[in-house]
Amino acid sequence: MTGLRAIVLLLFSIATAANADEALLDTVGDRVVRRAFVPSPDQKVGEVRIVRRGDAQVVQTLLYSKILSRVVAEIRKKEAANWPPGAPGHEDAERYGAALARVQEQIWDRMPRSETVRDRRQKMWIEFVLSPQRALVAMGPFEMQEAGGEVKVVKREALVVLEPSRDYVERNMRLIEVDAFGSDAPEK
Amino acid sequence: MTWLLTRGRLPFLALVLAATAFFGLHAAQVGVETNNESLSASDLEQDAVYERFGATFGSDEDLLLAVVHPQLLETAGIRFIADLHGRIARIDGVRGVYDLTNAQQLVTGESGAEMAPLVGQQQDDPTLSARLRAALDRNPDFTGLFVAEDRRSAGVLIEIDDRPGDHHYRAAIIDALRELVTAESRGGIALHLTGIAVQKHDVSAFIQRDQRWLVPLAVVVLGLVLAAFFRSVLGVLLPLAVTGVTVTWTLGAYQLAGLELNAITSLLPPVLMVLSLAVSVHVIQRWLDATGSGNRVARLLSVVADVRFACFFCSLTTAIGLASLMTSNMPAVRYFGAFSALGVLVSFAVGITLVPVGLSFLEVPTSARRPPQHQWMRRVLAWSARIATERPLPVLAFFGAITALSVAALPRLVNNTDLVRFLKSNAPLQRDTLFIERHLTGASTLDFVIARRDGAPLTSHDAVARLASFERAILAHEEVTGATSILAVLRQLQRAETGGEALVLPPDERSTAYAFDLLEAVPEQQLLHKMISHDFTTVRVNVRIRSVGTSIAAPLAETILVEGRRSFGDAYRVEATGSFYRVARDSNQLVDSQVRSFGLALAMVIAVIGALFRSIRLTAIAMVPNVMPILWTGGLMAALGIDLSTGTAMIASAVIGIVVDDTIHYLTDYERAYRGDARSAVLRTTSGVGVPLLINNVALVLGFWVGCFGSFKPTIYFSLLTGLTMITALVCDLFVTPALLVLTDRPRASAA
Repeated sequence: MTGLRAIVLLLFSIATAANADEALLDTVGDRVVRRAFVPSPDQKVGEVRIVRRGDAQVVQTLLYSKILSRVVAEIRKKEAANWPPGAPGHEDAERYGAALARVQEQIWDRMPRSETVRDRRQKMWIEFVLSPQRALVAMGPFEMQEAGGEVKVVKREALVVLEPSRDYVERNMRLIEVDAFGSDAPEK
Repeated sequence: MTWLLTRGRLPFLALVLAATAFFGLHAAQVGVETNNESLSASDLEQDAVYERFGATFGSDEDLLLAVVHPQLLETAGIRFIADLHGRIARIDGVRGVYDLTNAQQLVTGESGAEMAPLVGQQQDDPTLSARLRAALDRNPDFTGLFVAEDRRSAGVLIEIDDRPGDHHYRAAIIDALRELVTAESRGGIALHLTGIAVQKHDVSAFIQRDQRWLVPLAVVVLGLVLAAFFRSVLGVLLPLAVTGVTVTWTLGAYQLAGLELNAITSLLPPVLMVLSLAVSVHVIQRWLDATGSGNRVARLLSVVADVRFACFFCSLTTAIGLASLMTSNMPAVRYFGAFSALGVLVSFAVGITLVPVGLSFLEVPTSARRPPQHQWMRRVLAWSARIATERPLPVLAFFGAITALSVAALPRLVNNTDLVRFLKSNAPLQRDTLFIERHLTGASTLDFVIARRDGAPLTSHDAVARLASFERAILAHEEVTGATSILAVLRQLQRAETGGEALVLPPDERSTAYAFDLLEAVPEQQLLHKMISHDFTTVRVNVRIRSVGTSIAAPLAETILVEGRRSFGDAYRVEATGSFYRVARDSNQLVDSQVRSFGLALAMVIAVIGALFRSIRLTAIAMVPNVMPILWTGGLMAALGIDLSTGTAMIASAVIGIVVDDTIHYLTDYERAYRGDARSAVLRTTSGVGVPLLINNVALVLGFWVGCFGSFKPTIYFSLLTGLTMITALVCDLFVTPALLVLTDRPRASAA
């Protein structure tokens, strides 16, 4: 009986966690607080947005680049520099980097092979989500529409959801904000 | 005319003086073309292609500096190049300098291909030489441009600004580079500079040099010739005054037309000085030859009446011959034709008025002058007249045989413009260009531009494969020393991306498209856009060829163009362009243009002679001694290996109108002397008109030969061969014309 209860509790907790992930990644009520093109408005490969999602703070990165693999490689380089071997968060950074590479490859593989493709940009979203209860990192492909220089996400898919340490997520969010907005980045 | 020779003399002289002052002011301001633009034929289609090319890829007039250094790939050599690089980059107007010290290679980095310097900052590193040699072996595209095959000389590519309207900055750059060349060429180090811009600069400098030397030299030569024949001050000063007025007015008009002197029109002053002598010589000789004291004005009126028609028609035929050059599609030749024709007509108007006015201030000679120096001329003339009248058939057979030999040699004439070899062999540009060609790379370049007709980018695997096929076809030509295109970058990129060793192109659609995606993201786009347009829709293939003339370059360019069109198919547009291609194409059209011009000149000269003599027989006779020497000159050029080029192709059209003058004078006098017996008429004519013809021809020939001291071989050949043609034409006039007159003589009933 105890064993059966344990299984039920485990299933319940998994189901609850999945529902919690979905809620934390649901963009319906998103309020974009700030946004900035990266690395610069002239040579943009994407943009960073600071988003309020219920009680969660979200740093959302939308990448749209023909050379996504290079962009991902740059992110991984920064991760390696910020969380060197032996430092707290190193393993989280490693897992994050591996997930980025995996998702980028999936997006590349999904690209049509015809030379007539008009938009050769590969699109990938990355979110660092920090709610009072949980800290998540999620990523996947997305589709977008552009109007007046503004990007609107019309469809997205989460291919990977990670749950690293809260410290890792918090620090990474801070570093991304500084990178994107400079010293003007909002203090936590 | 009587008024002109009496009360009108001073007002006339004042008018001439005022006009000369006005035109002189303008003539003094005539500039020298700095871009050789007028040496390119106008072709709207090709001009548009070249303009598009310039807008897409920038100027094709890069300079190439070759550096020979005993320790080229060692620290000393690389430091030398680095120092040179810095000094060149600081010259105003230099946009970029590319050489071994800043060349970038693509290497495999953490995330794929990344740029890395070929040399690096550590030039003291003892392994520098080995590293550099290994890098050069790994990147063969650098060989033949940045370093020679034997690794003893290096190339420094200098990109210069395009500053429309600024005519001085290029000259300043080249002067600065030449100073550098002189200062640094020592102790086993040698520098050599070449490029289209250098060529333009040197041509411009040589034109200025020729203007400084040739015009005074022509004055001295003509003065000496006139002094030798007339042995009087007036015999020298009056013709020189006519010459001065003619040249001043014509050059003034040239400047007023907004034109600048180029390699061809720089011949205008010496040519006009020579051509403007004829009227003066004939008037003065008649004045001296006339017998009886008589009234001064009456004598001058009689002299003018005697020579005016012949002189007018001679000037007209000369002007027609020169004006026929206006049918050329090369602006420089057109300007030369138009203004030399204008000058000849001006010289007639001035000569037939100014000389009599000048003579009117002198006392009338009491007896016909027979200067002793004319005696040997008269003996020669008498001998020629005797031979021609006594043995007309052998004379014609002899001259006919020479003509037949010349005609047989004509097919060997080669149409060839070689801009580098236009200069004398000791000219720095020729020396440097040939050195660079022997040791580094071909200094002449042809450019091919490829675009899809539908305007789509050339980023597909198929387009790249076609470009590779085109490149293979280009490199198969013996004259080609190298070809640069985006393919070199794609090969390096593919090797660096895959971490492989072989230089191969991206193997499929996806990797090809990705390679272009990577290129799009390269931060330093300047060099890339010399090979492919910003939007990747137009590709340039720069083909370096040996320094060959256009006789080889023009068909080569056309063959490559055909191969390009075959490689790419109908969906693509392949065009050839570039400064050198334009020269090659122009040269091809030159002969057609000059044949057309000569045909026109000949037809008009025949018409004028027909109108003057109103005799089919005399018109037909007049043509023989004038076409004959032109054929001889063509045959001689073929035998001596002198090419048809911008200068030499002008000879026939320019000379026909000049040499026919002797025949007109001869036949005019013959008509006057004819009393029913051709033999005695010929004897009288030859001894009468022969002397001024000889004087005029010696002056003309020596005057033209002044051009032999010029700086350009085409103008040297033009001067030499035109003078030679005049000599042979006079010989024909003294032998063939009398022989034909005797043979075809049908005594007229009224003549006896």
